[in-house]
Amino acid sequence: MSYIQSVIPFVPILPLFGALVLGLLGKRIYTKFGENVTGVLGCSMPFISAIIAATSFIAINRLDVTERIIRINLMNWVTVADLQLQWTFRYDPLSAVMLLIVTIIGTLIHIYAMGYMKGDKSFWRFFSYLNLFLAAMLMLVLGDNLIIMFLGWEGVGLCSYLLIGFWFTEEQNAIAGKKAFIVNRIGDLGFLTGILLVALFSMKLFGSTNLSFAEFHGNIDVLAEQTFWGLPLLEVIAVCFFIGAMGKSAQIPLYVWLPDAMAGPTPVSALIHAATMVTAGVYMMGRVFFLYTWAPHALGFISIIAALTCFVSATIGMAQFDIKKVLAYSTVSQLGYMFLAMSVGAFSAGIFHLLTHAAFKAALFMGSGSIIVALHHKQDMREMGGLLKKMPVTGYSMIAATLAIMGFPLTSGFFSKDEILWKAFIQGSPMLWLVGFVAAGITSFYMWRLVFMTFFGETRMDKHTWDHCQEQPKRTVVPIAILAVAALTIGFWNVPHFLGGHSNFTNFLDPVVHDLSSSPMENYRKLQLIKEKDQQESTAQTMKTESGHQAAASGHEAVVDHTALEWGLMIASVAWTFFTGFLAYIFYLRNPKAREQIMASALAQRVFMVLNNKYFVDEFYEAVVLTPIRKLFDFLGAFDQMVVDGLVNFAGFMGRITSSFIGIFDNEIVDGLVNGAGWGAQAGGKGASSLQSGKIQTIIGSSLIIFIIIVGCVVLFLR
Amino acid sequence: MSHILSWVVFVPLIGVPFLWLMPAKKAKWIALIATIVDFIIAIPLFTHFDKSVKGVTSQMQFVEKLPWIPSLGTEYFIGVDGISISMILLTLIIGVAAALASWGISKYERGYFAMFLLLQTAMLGVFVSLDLILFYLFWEIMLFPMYFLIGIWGGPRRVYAAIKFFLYTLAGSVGMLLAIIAIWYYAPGERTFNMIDLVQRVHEGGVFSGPMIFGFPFVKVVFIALFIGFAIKVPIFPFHTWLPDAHVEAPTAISVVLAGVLLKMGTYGFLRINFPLFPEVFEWFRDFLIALAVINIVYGALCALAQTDLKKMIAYSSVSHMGFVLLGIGAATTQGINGAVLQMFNHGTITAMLFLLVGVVYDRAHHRQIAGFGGLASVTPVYATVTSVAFMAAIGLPGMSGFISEFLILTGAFKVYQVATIIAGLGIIFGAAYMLWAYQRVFFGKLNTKYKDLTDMNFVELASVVPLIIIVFYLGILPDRLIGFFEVSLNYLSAILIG
Repeated sequence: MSYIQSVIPFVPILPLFGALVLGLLGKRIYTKFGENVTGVLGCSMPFISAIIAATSFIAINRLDVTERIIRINLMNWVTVADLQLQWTFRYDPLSAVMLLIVTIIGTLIHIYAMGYMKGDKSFWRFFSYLNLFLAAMLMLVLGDNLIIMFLGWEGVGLCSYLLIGFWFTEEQNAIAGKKAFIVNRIGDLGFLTGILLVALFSMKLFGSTNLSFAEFHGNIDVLAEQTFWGLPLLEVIAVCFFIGAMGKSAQIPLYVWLPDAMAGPTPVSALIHAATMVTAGVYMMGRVFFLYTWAPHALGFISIIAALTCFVSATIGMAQFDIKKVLAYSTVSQLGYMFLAMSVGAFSAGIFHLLTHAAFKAALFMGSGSIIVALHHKQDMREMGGLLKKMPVTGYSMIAATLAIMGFPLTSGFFSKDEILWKAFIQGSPMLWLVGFVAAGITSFYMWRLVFMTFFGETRMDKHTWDHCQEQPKRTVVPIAILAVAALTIGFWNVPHFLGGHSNFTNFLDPVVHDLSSSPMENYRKLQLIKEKDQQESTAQTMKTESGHQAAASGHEAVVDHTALEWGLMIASVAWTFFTGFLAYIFYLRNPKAREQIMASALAQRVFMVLNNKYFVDEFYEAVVLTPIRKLFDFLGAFDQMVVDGLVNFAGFMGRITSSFIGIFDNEIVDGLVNGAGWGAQAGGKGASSLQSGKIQTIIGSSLIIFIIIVGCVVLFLR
Repeated sequence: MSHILSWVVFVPLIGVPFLWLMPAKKAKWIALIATIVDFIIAIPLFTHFDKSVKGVTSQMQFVEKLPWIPSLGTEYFIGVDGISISMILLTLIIGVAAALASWGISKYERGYFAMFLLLQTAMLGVFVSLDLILFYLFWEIMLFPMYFLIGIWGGPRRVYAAIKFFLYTLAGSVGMLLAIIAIWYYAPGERTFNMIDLVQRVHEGGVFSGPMIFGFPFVKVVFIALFIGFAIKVPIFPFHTWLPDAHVEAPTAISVVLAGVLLKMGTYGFLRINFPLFPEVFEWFRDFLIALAVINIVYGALCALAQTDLKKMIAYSSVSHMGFVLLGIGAATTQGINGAVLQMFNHGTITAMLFLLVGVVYDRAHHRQIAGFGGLASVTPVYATVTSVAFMAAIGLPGMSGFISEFLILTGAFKVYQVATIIAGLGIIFGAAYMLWAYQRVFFGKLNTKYKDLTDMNFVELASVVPLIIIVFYLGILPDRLIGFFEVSLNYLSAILIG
């Protein structure tokens, strides 16, 4: 047992334990020892997990590159015939990175929440949920098979539901939580269908399956030959998985829950709805990247969705006034960037943007939370302004994070976003690049708009609030500052070659996530070529397959020097984001009159109205999906009662009518004529009439008699 | 201990005379002790059960065989295999939980608990009987206590609900009895009511020599007659309408037993008698069964969405969840059928929990209208938490038992019916919708001031629910511990049905 093997299982188990302790005893601890003890208890488990994650990260870096995939089998989970699921964790460079993000940002946000949730009477419950969330998220990240991942996947959904509706006395919060859960479930059905497809074909082709990623990867080229309903199997699975990602990572058309999810306390928005949970879809795609290398059409589809999401939500972000809503749409848009990277085969770039985004977006959310608390839960930016003087740490941290998200040279966002745009250009299409490029400008615009509206200019808040607002305590602002520093610096982990770096991050991930070296379609053809070669060779049995691989690969390796183009695109996007940032400066700080003049035109008004109302997507869903479903179930409820049950009652009624008729018939006509035969019918009639009075003895008696008669008839008839 | 199985079946009945030795107010203690004692003496059953024995057609375990009515060839023949042992465990667990849920009964206590214990014996009897007549006897005996328990201790429309339940089930039983007689009469080989022998003979190629009935092949008619009898109990659409009425009117504990155990008898009957006796007809009927399963799942879930009464909503959720059992059985693949039996167990524990929890609020508020509550989470935090766990279990959240069984069923069904499985998956979405919607309306939002003094769950209520919660989590994490009991039997059954 190496160090990693012995400690990794504790990473999810410790927060789970913390959640249990706080959930069961939290109230007692809270009332007896107070807020600080409860808070420290809540922070302790994530903190230990973070230490384990960090030390394991060091340990894995010392291992040889080939030994960096570590699987830790705990026990059997479900084993039925050819389905053999295990409780197994997988620690490799990809989960190592995710573990760092989740545990470190998680711990910081726990500490931050001690300040943010101060005085809340459900303080302990909040920390219990937050611990539970970390446990589920870590399960998702560490799962070695699709089902453990799915367990974490649903688990984080549950915690998201619980935390969005944390202040449940507001009906609106509870509704937002429910919406998040159900929209996610729609995506989950897609994910589950994908898993079922993998299970089905694995069991059919290989005798048994444990659904682990290693097994899936190993079988991928056999599965690539399969078709399902006439479509290539892997394309179908890839789309199914992506539907799951659409729900969890808020892509069009399933993104609608995320902006509503801002109803939750701000630490939740920072941790769950910015840094970790919503990126689960990106992580999942990275985990099964081998699937996507075989699914170029699915990637094409994803690239369209991603580009659309990236652009549309950025435009909505421009027209929001609620500070958290701006950040929420920004998150959706940034997730679009990540999927854009994945969809052109730049998997490591997507994961890297996940990392940098986790840092700067968490910082932004936490900063906004700091403001919200200082202003006594006001979130409207129209009532802010000038806050930099009052809240310098929060202010400068948010400005740093804004520099990162706009892609200011040498900040983290600069490296990660540029990599994505570059890959989109070279491995996708110039169109994809253009959408991403435009959206980058919009990002810079709405982020600087946010900064100028909150921190600069004259204050627009009332005097009372202004006088009372002040910088938050250390436990709140220090985590923000730490993340802001991270947002500025972590980009240096992945400096590309043309800037003199070594793409260290990409290399670190390489044992588990290989980027495509060419566009997905081209790569797919290459893979097929290799396969055909392999088959020819195995039938001819002449050459070793190894040389075939090399031959096929070498045929496509025409190295072109793109350095000039790469520089050009980089300079263009830096110039463009500076320009839009400057526009924000003019419109919101320097010369608001100019903005008002533009906004005065009818066209601008209309555009603004559409954007402010989020393109009316919620209204559209309400009319097209929800209302019909409501009508359907109301109809079915009535149908069930009136028709299905009505028939039963009608049958009962007819039985009663018939029996009383027989009773009358029997009394008036039969009786006295055929005494012997009459007896039976009379009994039946009386029995039936006594049904109304509920005399059970008669019912039993008569039914027994009916039995005997019917049995007799049947035996006679059958003879 | 010899005759252990008979002891397990009849210990509840032995408790009945003791009810009259105690003051009426203390009768509940006798019932609780009887169910707990029954549970304890059943422990060797599980520890000594040989998990590698196939059962179904061949060797049963803990067998007891005595001549009963020699002229008819019926015997007192009981025994268990993997299929029944899990159902016995379920019945014993639900028995204790239901005894605790009966704590508030304050009308004719002795009569109530006598009926309750008789019901317990009858249910256990159904699961151990290996003789068709004995099976039928226990099946019918079950009706009487159930009728009284709903009809006397039930809600306002109890008489209507009780008669409906009784007549509906009885109507199904008539066909069943005829089918049993026909099976006996035209059995391959010597006439017998021994179901294990019969299945064995069919498996070895024996055929029923019956004539055409109304122009239909004998086996198909007998199959359908049996099927309807069991289908009413499950209940399968369109025979399900007795269930919401019975649930709404029944006292809490009886709802618990009804949903927890009684519904499983239908699907148990499919697995024990109906399908293995007529494997070819099953093959012919399979597509139709899958269609019914999907209807149950989706239709049940949509009807649940439309309900305003909390208990009725859960009743319809039972219809939906039992649809999953049917889906697994209909698929008859190893995962499908194992998942189905696991789902029978899990639905038993989870739905029992749900009804126990509805009982808690009904005892305090005296109504169950979903819209009539609101914000209860602020006054009854423990109750809200426990209920959220139970609701999440019902939704099939991974980590809890319901997910494992639903996943196994979907995996199993997907092997043979892809479209049906995906449609069934919609049931999972609707399931989340009705559960969360109801939860939100009852527990979240502004507190309805009428209920500002509502008391939280008491010790007895917690004692009935918490063990079930533990089971739900335990089987979510280590489902193999239960699957181990029936896997061998069911894999064999799957091979008989579709192999």
